[in-house]
Amino acid sequence: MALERIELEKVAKVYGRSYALNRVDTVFKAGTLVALLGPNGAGKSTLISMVGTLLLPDRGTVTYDGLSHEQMVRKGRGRFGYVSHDALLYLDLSGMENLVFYAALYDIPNPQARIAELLKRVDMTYAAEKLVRSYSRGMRQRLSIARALLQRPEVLLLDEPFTGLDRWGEESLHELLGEERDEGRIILLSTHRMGLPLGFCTEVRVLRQGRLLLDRALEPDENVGDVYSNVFRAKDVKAPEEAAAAEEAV
Amino acid sequence: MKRFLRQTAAILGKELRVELRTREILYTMIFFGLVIVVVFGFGLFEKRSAAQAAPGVLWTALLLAGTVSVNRTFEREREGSCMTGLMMVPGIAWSLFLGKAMANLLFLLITLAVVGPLVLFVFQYTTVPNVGGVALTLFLGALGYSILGTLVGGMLGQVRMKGILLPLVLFPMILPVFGIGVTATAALLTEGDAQSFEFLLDEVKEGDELRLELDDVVLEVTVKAGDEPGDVIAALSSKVTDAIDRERLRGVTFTRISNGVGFTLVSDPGKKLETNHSPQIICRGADLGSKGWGYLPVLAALDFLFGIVAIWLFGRLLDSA
Repeated sequence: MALERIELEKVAKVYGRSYALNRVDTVFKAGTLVALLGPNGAGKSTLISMVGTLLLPDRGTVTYDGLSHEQMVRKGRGRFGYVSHDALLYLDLSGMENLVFYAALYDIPNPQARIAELLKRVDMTYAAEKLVRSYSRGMRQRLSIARALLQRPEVLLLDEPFTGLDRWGEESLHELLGEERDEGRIILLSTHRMGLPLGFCTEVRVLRQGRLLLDRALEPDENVGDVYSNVFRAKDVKAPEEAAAAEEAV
Repeated sequence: MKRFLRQTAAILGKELRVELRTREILYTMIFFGLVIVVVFGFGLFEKRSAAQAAPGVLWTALLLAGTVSVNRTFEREREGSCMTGLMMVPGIAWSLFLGKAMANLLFLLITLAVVGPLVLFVFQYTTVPNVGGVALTLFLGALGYSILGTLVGGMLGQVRMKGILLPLVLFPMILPVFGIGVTATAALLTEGDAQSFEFLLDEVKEGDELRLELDDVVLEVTVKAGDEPGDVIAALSSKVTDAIDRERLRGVTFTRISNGVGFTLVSDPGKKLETNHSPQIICRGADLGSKGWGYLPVLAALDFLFGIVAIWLFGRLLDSA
């Protein structure tokens, strides 16, 4: 049964003396595409890693349809597709070999057909036989997205997925994510680039210094960048980086 | 089970494919092993004890060359953060461990296949007694090393200064395997040469054949019913008949040892054996391998124990990561 609800309750993560996440309460539901926004160091990657069971909360709980974090670690990690800052790909294997390797690990039936389909969706068929080492940043990112979708995950976690993508790559990613959202997946997408058109997102979460500043659904045609900058205006943002980000968004 | 095997095969296949493409581990290991053997070879050249040092040199080469493989075990996963990708796969821990350990074992065995013959050549082994036993001992040693090495490599995967820490953690743990391995290899390799002649005569029985080879001089006797060690000595000595044999065997004396159950082969004081090789004594028929072979079940038991502990610990490690 597909995962319907991920619930974070008073979640905190501490590194040294600083909070990467501080008393975060939120819920992610199936069929939503959540834009996770915030300046650098806001805690977006930490939140994504924690939802993906790669980090344990120091305080609070994360539950998955009632299952605990530990239960998901043991049995449910295959339900997540994860795109991180790093591509999670072997540089000395070709794109095709990487996908075949992961397909074998996930025990995917008829892997060749699935791989061919995904390579086509991320427009990487032409480079499938080349070594990943020879790929550009954007090509690695596209292959990484294909890798994350390989096992048809119920939750898609995308940490800065637009990094390195050209305009055309961004547009095809929008399209792909829209399709995945319509299939009922929970999708979390983090970015600090407010210039991106994120109209395909259905909800927004804004983080700053580990705190959740905004948690709500997006209205149709609502501009995510405007939402973001309004939040920071309301919170009287003074940090130059945040001000610049807000300005860029406007 | 099928899935486990498929995952293990995928990981092993990936390791081998990347290694075939880059050859960074095998080349370094073999080069490292060869250098160690050559350096020891120079150090012990022309020393009568050289042959005795061979097992130690072989295992030292294995130990040090193995660190290259063990150190790199999880290095490839660090590049591109692939370990995160693996951790997202459910039930991967045991397959990951087994696949990596098998790859490490294969690299160690390939290195041994190159370094082993060089050791025999450098330390002037004209014949290798108990080849099967020596090979099995080395295999069990390499197996134990790959198991513990994979475990420690995994434990230290993300730790800074891993290169320094790995030998500090791994070597004390692997010491029992290497201690037993060196002892077993020494027993298996030296049975039959001059140094263990005393031991041989404790073991011989009626019908056994003793053969002493010193360069091109060959002396052979068959142990008869009721023979005492002294009779065997006399029989061997009596074979030294002509002048050429005496010239070749100058400096070699057959001597009864004090308790009368065997004898040792020594050179006269101040004289050098006129030979390029240590005297080789081969005893056919006697159960000479028993002492060396006796270590192998212990080695196998240690490997098994390491395997159980490592798989359990590795699973816990990955689950908690």
